[in-house]
Amino acid sequence: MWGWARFAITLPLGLVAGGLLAAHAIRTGLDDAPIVAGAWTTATTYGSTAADPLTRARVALRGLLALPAEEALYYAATADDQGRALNGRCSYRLTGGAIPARWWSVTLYDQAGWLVPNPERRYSVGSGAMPKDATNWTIEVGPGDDTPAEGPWIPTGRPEPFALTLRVYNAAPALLADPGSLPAPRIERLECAA
Amino acid sequence: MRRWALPVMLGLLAVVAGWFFVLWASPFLLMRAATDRVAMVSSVNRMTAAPLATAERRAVVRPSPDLFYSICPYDISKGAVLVDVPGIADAYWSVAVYDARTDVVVVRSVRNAVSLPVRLALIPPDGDAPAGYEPVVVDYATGLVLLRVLLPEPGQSARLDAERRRATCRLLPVTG
Repeated sequence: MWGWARFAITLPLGLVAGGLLAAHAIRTGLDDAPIVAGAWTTATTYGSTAADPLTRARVALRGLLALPAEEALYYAATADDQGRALNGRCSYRLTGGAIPARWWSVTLYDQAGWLVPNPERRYSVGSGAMPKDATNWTIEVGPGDDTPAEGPWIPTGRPEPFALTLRVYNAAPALLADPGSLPAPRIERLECAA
Repeated sequence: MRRWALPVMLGLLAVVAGWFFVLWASPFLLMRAATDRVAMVSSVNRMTAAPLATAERRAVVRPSPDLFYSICPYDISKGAVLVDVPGIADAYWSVAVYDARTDVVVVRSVRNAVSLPVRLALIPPDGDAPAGYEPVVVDYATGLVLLRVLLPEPGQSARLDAERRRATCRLLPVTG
């Protein structure tokens, strides 16, 4: 074989392979963010020039235009407390306590990061929906045909995997210094439709 | 076999090069795609107040349905871009400047704004800001300015919507 032909094979193949590996790594999203709090993960470098190239690329795909940690912490959950992937055909109960911040919310997204259509047009629950100075709260998450009788809830919209984002705006200094110390909301799976 | 050793070694280096190239390029491409989507319903160097996010509106991933967003795709290639944001009473608000690589260049918010209104001048490294504006040096010509206003409960939406619409973004053309 001509000498150059070997290079003509390995170099393009190498470039393509490297690119595909990178694309795969980017698409795996932010599930393995370095800070863990219960079923939730986060990082403090979102939107920051200090982010490593992989984190920057992942955030660009899954959380473009995130604010820096001083303004908002973003915690993601794709599984319940037992590590089972969140699925829209199942019902869940989120329970938590006081989160030391100006305001927080839980929002439901599909795997691509879009809000999920549902007849109720409900996509999130925020701390404003909780009684002032509440030290314990509950949010129900489940299919639209399983509307709880009362209380905050988010419909899953359709029987597919989904993700939850917990936004914490203007976290208290102690939480900002150690985001892993979040009093993590629990995610309990109740039941699943067939 | 020995004749393949060097090509394979260089091929492995090419894997590393491909890996880093995609990581480097992806934010620029994704930011460009988002800017193009935003520009379809907005104008360059103009602040546009977007309606509340719903499942049907898909400009940028992971929008918060609890925030009013106003957005300005900026381009400083023809001059400084001036951003004016009035303070919004009794609400969380923030204005963030993102560059073409998706990095946050600056954030001014209810938390850290020294004076109101917030006045930012987006300029290149060798540019000058007009009097009364905080200079914000951006390394790339294009990016996005995003104003967020928290809607804690639906009853305040009319007031907050009206206040956030007072924010502006405009080009200061180069003179002379």
